[in-house]
Amino acid sequence: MLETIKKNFQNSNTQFILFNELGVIIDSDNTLINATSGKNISELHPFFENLATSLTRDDLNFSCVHLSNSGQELICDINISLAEENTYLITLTDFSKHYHSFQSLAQSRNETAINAEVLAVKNKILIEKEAFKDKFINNFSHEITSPITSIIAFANLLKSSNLNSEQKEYLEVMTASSLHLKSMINDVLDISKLGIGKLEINNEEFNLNKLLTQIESEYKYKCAEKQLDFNLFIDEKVPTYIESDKTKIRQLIKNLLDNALKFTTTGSIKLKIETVFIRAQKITLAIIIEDTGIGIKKDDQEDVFIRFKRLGSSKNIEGVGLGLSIVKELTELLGGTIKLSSEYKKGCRFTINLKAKFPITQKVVKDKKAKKLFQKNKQKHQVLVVEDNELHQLTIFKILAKTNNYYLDIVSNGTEALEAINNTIYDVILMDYKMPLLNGLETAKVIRNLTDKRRKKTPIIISTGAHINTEILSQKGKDINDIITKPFDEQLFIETIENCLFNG
Amino acid sequence: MITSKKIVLLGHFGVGKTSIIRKFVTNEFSSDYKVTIGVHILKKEVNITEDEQVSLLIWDLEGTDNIDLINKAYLMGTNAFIYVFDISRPVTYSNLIENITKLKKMFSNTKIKVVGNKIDLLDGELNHDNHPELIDGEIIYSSAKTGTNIEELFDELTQELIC
Repeated sequence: MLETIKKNFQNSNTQFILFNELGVIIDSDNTLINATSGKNISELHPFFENLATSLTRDDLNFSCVHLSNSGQELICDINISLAEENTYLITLTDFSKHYHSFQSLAQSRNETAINAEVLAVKNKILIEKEAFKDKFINNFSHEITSPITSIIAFANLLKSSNLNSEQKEYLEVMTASSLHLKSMINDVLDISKLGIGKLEINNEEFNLNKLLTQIESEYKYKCAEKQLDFNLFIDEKVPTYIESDKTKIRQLIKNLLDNALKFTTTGSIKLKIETVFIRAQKITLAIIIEDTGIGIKKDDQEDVFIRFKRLGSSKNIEGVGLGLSIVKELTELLGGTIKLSSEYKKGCRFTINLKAKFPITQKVVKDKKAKKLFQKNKQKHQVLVVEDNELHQLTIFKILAKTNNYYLDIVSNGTEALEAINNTIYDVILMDYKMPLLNGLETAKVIRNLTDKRRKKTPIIISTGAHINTEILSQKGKDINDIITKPFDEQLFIETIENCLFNG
Repeated sequence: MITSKKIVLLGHFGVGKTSIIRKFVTNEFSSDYKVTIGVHILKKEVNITEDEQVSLLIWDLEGTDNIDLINKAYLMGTNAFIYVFDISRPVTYSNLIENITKLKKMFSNTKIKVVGNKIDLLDGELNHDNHPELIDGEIIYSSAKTGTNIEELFDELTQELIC
């Protein structure tokens, strides 16, 4: 009985066909396909065409061959072997069910793989587009900040020349417009960097008091121009020194103060720094900016931090609507929070809570030491300026000439700089990043590898457009001592040079 | 007189081998992807002259990125290979040169055509991202969806095979 079952089982799945060397069918059991004796195997299915010409004495094995005919699906494994001289045997085994289930698996496996590949390609294209945008903004900012640097610097120099009142008035408009343009470009650059996650946090120990005092003097002046009062309040528990990202904190405060200035026509603007939490070496600061401006309606308050969103009440105020969204994103980047409370027509209050560290010993300020040193040290310092743009050369020359503290040598590229260094020992080198032949960083590397101990240790400051790339940032504290961005802020420019001269 | 020529289509999975064959043999196209397992063989008779016909036996093999894994029995007696890649998926032509070199080594007298399929998906011009470098020989760019260069591909190959 078992033999019969076995025979029936095998018979239902397997067919044997005998044929000669010309392909003519000798015999077949016709279990799966109709293979009449006397027919040529090439008539059975295209699979068998030309087969007779390829036969050898070795067995041939084909798996998963689709022999479907007249709508009936048949998937077989096929073996062709030499049965006896000039006679071959085809063994067809029907594995249709097995291959059906395998097909479902393969289908889902391949679809998953294809989807992943397509996604990877789309992602790559997106990254390339972002990189292109980044590069474009980087180059564009460099190109556009150069002329702005010159316009602002020369407008400032022109202010101190002999101008009549009408000319002074025109100059004021020119300066204000240039500064506005500069601030808009910086906003666009910042938002672009935030969007692509390029903005890095650079924590450093810095004098918070000094930063706030600088901001105070700047905004006292700006407020006075609009007949507004400006007040700075610093909670006595706020440490003088903290460790955080100085540049970003300065930008946060300035963006909020600029916003307050825009929307306040009478009354006052207040900047308050309070301590929310202090323990061990950790502190949470509240930076509060209050104004008596036009305020924001309750329904609009959620929208103030949206990019390019300009509320109804601000339609006539200049700007691109990025200032507050930058503040929010910068605050979040620093791990802080921002809150707005406002009463329409009464004013606004922005509160930023920021965490920072502070050193237990609040050391005596290094820059006081620097100032003292400068006063003691009456001799002038030798500065090498490496800059290929003539307008920038002139701007730097005029800024430094006003201090009467420096001798300047100016060269146009890295090769000339190396020659100059070979002839003179400089106290500080101020070098542009983008230069033909050797760029600023490459030149700095060559200088650091000089054999002369004094020359190789000369402080180097790299000047660059507003978009500081990561390559430059990574070299701060290594091949270069500091970075200064264009357009040059005169005060910051001199401070950076002094800091390099006296603190290294 | 009818002569038979065996043409084998190779390439990664999902590049459109089956679609190219269907377009050529039955002038049909479906954008639904159905994976091929094993081998399907289709046949099309092409008139060369009034008296002469050629029977193209087109073997549609399961896609793979490694031609070493193909059952050698499938490739036996092949007159021409069509190696297909998908211009929208770089992974399908990342090892193109390697595979073509292997094929040439294994089947030195067999014709090989390289086809970059799915040009209907191309947004803009061909560039280094969708255009692999082929050391010698040219690439035929096709679309099974629109029929671009499908007839031309088989016509050209048939002409070369009967010469």
